[in-house]
Amino acid sequence: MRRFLDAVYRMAEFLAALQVVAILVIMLLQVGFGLVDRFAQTLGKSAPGLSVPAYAEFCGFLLAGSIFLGIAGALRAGAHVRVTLVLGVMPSPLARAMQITTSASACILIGYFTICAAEMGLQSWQFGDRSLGTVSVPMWIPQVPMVLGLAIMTAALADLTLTFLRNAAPPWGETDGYGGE
Amino acid sequence: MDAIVAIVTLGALVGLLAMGLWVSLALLAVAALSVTLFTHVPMGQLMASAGWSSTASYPLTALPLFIWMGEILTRSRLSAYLFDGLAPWMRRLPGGLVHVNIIGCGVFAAVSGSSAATCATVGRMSVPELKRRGYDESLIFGTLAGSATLGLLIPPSIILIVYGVSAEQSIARLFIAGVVPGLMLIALFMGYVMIRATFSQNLVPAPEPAIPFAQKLVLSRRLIPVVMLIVGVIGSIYAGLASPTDAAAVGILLSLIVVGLSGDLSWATFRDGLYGAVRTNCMIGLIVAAASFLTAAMGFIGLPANLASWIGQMGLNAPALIAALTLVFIFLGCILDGVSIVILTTAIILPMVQAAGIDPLWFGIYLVVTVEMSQITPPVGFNLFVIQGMTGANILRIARAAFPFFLLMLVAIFLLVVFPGLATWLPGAMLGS
Amino acid sequence: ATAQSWDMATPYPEANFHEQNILQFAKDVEQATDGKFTISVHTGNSLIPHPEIKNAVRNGTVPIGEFLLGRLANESPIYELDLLPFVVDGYAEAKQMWEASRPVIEEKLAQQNLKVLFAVPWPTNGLYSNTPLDTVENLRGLKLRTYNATTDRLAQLTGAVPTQVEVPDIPQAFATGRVDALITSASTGVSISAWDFVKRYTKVNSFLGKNIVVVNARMFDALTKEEQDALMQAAAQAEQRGWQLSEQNNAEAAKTLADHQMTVAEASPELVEGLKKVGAEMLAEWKQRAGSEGEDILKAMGK
Ligand code: NA
Ligand code: NA
Repeated sequence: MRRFLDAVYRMAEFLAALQVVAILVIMLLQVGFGLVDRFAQTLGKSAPGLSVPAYAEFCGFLLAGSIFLGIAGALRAGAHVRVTLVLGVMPSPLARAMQITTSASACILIGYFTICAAEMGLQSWQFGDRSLGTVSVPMWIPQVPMVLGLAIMTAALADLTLTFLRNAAPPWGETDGYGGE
Repeated sequence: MDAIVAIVTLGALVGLLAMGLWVSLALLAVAALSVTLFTHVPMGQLMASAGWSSTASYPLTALPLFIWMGEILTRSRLSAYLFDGLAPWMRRLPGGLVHVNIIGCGVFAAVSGSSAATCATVGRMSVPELKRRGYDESLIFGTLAGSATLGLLIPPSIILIVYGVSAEQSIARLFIAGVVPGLMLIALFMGYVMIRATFSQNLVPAPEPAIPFAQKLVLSRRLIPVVMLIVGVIGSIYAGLASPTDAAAVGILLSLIVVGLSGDLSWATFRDGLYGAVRTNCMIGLIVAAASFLTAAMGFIGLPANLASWIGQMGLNAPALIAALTLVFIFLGCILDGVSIVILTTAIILPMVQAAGIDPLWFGIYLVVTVEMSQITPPVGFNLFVIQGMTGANILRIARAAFPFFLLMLVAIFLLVVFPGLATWLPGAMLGS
Repeated sequence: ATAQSWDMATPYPEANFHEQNILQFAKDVEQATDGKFTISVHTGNSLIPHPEIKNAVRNGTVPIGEFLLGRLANESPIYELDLLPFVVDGYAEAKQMWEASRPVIEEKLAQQNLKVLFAVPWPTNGLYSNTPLDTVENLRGLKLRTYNATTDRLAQLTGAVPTQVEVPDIPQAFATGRVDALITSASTGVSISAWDFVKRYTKVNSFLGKNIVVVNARMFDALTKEEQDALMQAAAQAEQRGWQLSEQNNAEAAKTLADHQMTVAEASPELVEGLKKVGAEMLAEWKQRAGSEGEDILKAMGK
């Protein structure tokens, strides 16, 4: 189970990184095409007018996908910020109880978010919602990564709650405490 | 009713944050709570659609790309070179290399339209270097958090665009109008650092030994890659090759080239930089999603609008109106980000501002300087989150370090009120009235 | 009956004539029901951002909202018709088009739990550029701002270079030469202060895109008969008033552009002729996509 979950987190984070790279590539292509046009016009030729169709919209889709697919990995790495002032001065049994409470309630909240996002995607599919730009894309497709990422985050938070219940060290390591200070 | 909403919202937020709940989750929970308690809106649907529409956003893509650029540069010798090159020239200046934070943010603000991206990119390069050289941590954090807000005021600026669209003001004019107040803030920040450094010697390390002029010039050669990088990115915008968002991608390409040429690029640095950027971006992205849900909640509850129209009913004269609005914006700035405040209040505020005889162009600049402060006030301040994510230091400590800069922005507002020409002169001179 | 109060989401700033019309519509509803049914209008994307408004009404997040009909063009070619250049030559024909297409649009939106209240056109579109546009040939090689499949095709057929620029980036894109020409209404030109970055406005009267106001059908059904009547009557008035406002605004906006030292030019016959050719080609392509449904609308318009 441990190895399976870790593989899922890693995979999701890899996909998140891949989407950031995709944004970079799309934008560079777009800028490159502009450069080609500029160059052609300087030479007195007509601009070929190449462009990545609907590129702004696609960049947005990729960004949303990247953010949600990467949140679980960011949690494992201790990258989500929080205020640890009170936790730090608590006696440790109480601090542990707070850790368990916060991660369990976070799990419930993100679980609920997952269901709502899935419903949104489902409605997009049922009603045939389409993207706005030059390329017509069914809206549920870019929404799938969001739902998937939230589901993985739910699992990661459940995982974390169990870790605290077992009194084990959180995945971001014990030394830097609570992902903060 | 509004008082109850404000107390419940702020109380729940502070309580959840104190419990140690992640900032994004706390915002999400408070938004869910206030929608459920105070409106009849289907909460889950609003959460999902706010989460989707705020993150599936082309202008926001500049954020991960600029963060990535910072991650690449910090993993190279370039940031050390930048400081090596500048150190000999700035050794006599009180405050020394801390000014790099301020000027660096000012320059980067001319590339990026967002405050968080400015904070992340400049901070990634400067914080480790300044710490290594023995500068006081709170001075580093304060200058960075404060100056990064310039990303909003110095063009290009997302928030000026939002204001321009909702107030039907010329975006070209607003952009030009932001320049002088931006420079004024830089001057205020630098002046403050010089005074602080003069009076408390332990904030900055002892000045580095003086070196002959010729050697200074030799060291300055180390600045060339960074300067080329900056010129390339700004140039891509002003040559019309890239939109301000695309410029972030140009920045990464140029960084990879420069770092590659200096021999610091390996697969490991590429991968680590990318993953570092993805993690920071996901942290901020989830906060953006949750904050936009809270903004939507506030839109339905009507708290910001009610506050604004309550001020309007007082029938104040122009200076009193500005003073009252400043207090409202500071309060709203604690729980909402700057763009949200502008979106939620402009429609109500603009008519009363015009009725009081205030120039809407001037008001846009005033508004941006005012909501800039929201970036560094707890509990919800994006620059604070960025610096915590980057350094692991506690939010409240960073907020304390940034507090003097909050006060300096108040001074800037005062100056803008007394000398409105600071904002209105340049656009009039350049585009005619 | 208990008092009814609705939130309404609209995309454009309060000063825009569409939103002024909607504010009046809300007042009319309130008056007709003696204050028992109030609609509070949230302008300028302040409640729901434009891309989400249709779905927010559909799922009941807000009971009522406004959006640009042409944004749904990817869902069905029917929504695209009012964006095609030179299908109509002015307000009278645009009105015919709306009447002819309304039943089909109502039926399609009803499948999404949306009830149509009214639609109001934007003023007719013209070309913004720094160089004179006397013939279609002048457009060749110019970087024309495009934002959907229709404008993209228009650029291709005129030989312009389609360039994607987001609305807020337009001033900077003109200033830096990333874009050379823009097709939009005089009214929009005024709200973005076009005179600060571009010199000429050439009136081509090419098309009149519409904003549509819809309500959540289930929430409409839950209203009392009195409230429903008040809403429908105010809607009918708003539609009539909106069309007049649009026409007025068209003239005023062009004058505002001229007042700001922009050259406001009538399109030359050569330009119109060339663009009409392009329009005819686009309409032919549209007919293929829209099938018999489209055929029927055009027939009803007498085309
Ligand atoms: Na900026
Ligand atoms: Na704040």
